[in-house]
Amino acid sequence: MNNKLRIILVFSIWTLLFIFIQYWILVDLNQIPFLAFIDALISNLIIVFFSASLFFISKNYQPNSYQIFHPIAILLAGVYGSFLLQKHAISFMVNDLSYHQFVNDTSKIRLVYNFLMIISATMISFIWNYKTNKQAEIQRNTDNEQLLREAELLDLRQQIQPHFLFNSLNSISALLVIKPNLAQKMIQELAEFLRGTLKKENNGLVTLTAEMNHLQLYLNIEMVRFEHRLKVENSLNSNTENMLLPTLLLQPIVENAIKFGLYGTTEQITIQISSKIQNEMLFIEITNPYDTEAHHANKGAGFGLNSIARRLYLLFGRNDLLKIHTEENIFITQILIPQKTV
Amino acid sequence: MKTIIIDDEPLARSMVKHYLSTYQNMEIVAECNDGFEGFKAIKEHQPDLVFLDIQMPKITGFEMLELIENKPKVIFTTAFDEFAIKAFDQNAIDYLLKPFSQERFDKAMQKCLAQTDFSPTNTSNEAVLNTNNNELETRVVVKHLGNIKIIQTNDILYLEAYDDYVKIYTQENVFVKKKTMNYFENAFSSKQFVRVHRSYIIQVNQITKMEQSDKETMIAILKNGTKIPLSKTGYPKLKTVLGI
Repeated sequence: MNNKLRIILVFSIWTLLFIFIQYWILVDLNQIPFLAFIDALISNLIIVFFSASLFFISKNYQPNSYQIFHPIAILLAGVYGSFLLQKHAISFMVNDLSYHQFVNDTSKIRLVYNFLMIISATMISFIWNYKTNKQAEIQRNTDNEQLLREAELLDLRQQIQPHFLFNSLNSISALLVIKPNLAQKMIQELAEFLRGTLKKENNGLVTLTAEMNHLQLYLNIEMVRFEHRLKVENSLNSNTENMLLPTLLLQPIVENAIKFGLYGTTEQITIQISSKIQNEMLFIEITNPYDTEAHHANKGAGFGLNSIARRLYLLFGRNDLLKIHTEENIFITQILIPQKTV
Repeated sequence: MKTIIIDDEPLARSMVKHYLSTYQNMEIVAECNDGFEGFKAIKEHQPDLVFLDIQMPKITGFEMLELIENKPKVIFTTAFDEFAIKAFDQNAIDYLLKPFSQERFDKAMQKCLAQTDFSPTNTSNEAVLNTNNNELETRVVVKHLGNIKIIQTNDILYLEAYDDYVKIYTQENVFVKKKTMNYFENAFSSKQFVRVHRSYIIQVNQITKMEQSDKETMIAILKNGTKIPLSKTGYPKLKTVLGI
């Protein structure tokens, strides 16, 4: 892994650097270059070994206030252990008694040197591990947010209203008695509508034509149910046909329009759907009559459009894409869909 | 037996008609699209049995039923299963979930025919209603000069007990409804409406001030000048809601 390579590289460069520094100092102190080199090599390799051990210990080590002495004890043991090991290794490798004497004379310096080296290596390890943990955490958080966002979008992409389904089935049941041919047509349309709604890909963009085709299935079913009262007028500008919008966006809006239209009055109602281009964005307007007594104007919440606004915000990062207003007893929903080129 | 079918979907009505066609002594005297038509038809024909949808234009089946004094037997037909408890509380014969089968329909009819001595009581079991119906009412449907009037709860100034009825005061008018004060106390948001007296419930944001009327009693003065007495238990309740 890339990260492991980097750790090894850093340790190697560090070691080479200090082997060179120690060698240079020892030669400066009039030691024989060959012995100085052996000493520098052995001392620093042992320090690297101890530092690396401490690095791997600290990697999975979660300090805890009760155990403040543990790391210090381990560190000091490491310093002293490495010193003893160095001393014996040098005695073993070098057969020069005067050099042994020199090693003994420089014990204190060597201890301090080991201490400084190991403590700095440990500190670097801590910082390194902290940074990688932090990065992993940030990654986890962004992954979580992404998952939440997708889940929310899926949730907002309104699921089928059970009442719609049951009432449609009831209509089909009645049609089977009166007009079996129409029942067959309605079953087929309901099936096609359900298939479209249950599609997995949730945040895809579709053309206005595709969305309107799906919507038409829904409208056909509603027209059978409320034939006597419901009228839908489409006036789509032909240059908007291939513009893109989030899939299944219009159906819940139209469903709301029909609901508030049909239940708000006992008269016949007309739902109007129109589209045009506005500021290079797709502009769609849906109007429905509503009950002025029951709903005070500009109370969008009552019309169940919050989830649409939220969905548009999650997709486009804008809060101004859904607008509602009323004119006398007509409720008007306007949406703007930016045509971003992805 | 005279019967009326009330449903805003013609196909749903024809389904009931079809199932009903096997019963020779049943006569369909009217078919209605909504609660307004239903209310008039029931008054006119005095049917024995009504098939009633719940979700309908303007007023619900429940709201329509509340306005009728001599209630016929009712079989609810709806796609909503969440109203079953409320439906039986209204002394419904049965509750048919759409779509339903001929067998299920026949069962409901058997229940209906078995209950020939059925005498509907106008006092619905409010204890059951109130414990099961957690949804607060946002409107009240009343009869007014022979018409049906929908009052939004926001427009209600206060309520006053009036024998078996409750008087509902709005800016423009006074309406009466055959319900108890306890019913309204539970049906409305307790943050918006407070029972300040045995005989009064007021909408909190209609109050402009409260003052001592004599040694014993406090009164609240509403925006339109009406003075409402506050009882010993009502006054502290009102203070809690107002946060004082």
